[in-house]
Amino acid sequence: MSNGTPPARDALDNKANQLFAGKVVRKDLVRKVKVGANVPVFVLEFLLGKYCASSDEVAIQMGLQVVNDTLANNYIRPDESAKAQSKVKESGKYSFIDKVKVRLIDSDYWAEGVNFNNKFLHIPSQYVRDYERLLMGGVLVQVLLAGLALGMRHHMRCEKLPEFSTRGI
Amino acid sequence: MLTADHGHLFFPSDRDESMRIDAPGGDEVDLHRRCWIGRGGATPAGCVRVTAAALGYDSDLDFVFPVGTGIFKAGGDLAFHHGGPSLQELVIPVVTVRMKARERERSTLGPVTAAGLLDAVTNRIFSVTIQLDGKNLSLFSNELVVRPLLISAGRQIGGVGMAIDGDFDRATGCVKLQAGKPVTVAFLLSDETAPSLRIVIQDPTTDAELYRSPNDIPVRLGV
Repeated sequence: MSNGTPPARDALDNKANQLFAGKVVRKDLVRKVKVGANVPVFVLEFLLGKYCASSDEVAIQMGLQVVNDTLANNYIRPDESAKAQSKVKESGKYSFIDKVKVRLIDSDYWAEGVNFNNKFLHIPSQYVRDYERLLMGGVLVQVLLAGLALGMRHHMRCEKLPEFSTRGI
Repeated sequence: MLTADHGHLFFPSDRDESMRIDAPGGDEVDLHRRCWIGRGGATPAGCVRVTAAALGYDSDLDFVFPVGTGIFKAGGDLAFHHGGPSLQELVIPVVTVRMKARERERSTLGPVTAAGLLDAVTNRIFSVTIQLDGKNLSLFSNELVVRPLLISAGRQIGGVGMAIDGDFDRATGCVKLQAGKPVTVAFLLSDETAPSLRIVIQDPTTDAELYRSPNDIPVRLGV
């Protein structure tokens, strides 16, 4: 039974890291990541895979810092939509982690950032073709939003839809 | 840097009087053969008007220049004159010379050494141990501020995010090294598209290269 202390790395862990370098997700680190309200575990695991897929303790230490910073600065919580929109306005563009759905209105695709609280985000059609699940209830993604005409709610643009594309929620 | 200039034009006799241009008039503050300074007035044919603000001056004045070798009517002869800002006066050719050094030689000559280099980068964050103790260490240099970088095809694709046993300035990405004391730095790869990288350590005051890893390190991210 776990007592909250992550198990020590053993020879098998080291072998896995050696043979599958960069592909081993350190699930034992999930508890070390500061978890805010309702951040799905697979998001934490994805970020750990991105920044902590290593047996290098210094890299892991910094990776945990990057993961925590990413969650603090880029994960949009449901009550923080105004803050997120303000970041796009002030910075011109900003990267977020949010659930994105796409719907077809007449002949145009419109994306909705659920926690970003905007239903009219421009999205390149290619993303819709590449990630069909955007049309099937949405996916949690890391998205780069750019405000083309600040203050106009219809003029936010999705520029990147890369990360959690296989994980629908 | 190389630059161009059309210089003064020297002729054995005066040129045609048609090279003299009427001054713009208006509220004239100063008039030279190659420049009018003031407010208002006309912009004669063959001349260009530039605001002082556009040139970085905190002023509401305008400058009017002949664009070729013509001059304003402000005295003097036409056998020896300069004219205005012609193409030769405006274009600044810049030539950058890059010396191709032998990699092995370059990597061992600097005062900084690096250990723990990876065979391949498989995670966006990885660490390397650097130390100030290489060759060419200045006589009285006991410490040195350096800027470690990740470089690919001459472009920066990452920098340091953390240092163990060394002073790290997050704002500048620089690390202070003490002679003989190893410092472990953690690099963060910011551009995931680069196929390979090299670790380069620079002197932040001169951009001089103090260390460069001897071989390209392939980037093979798993996630």
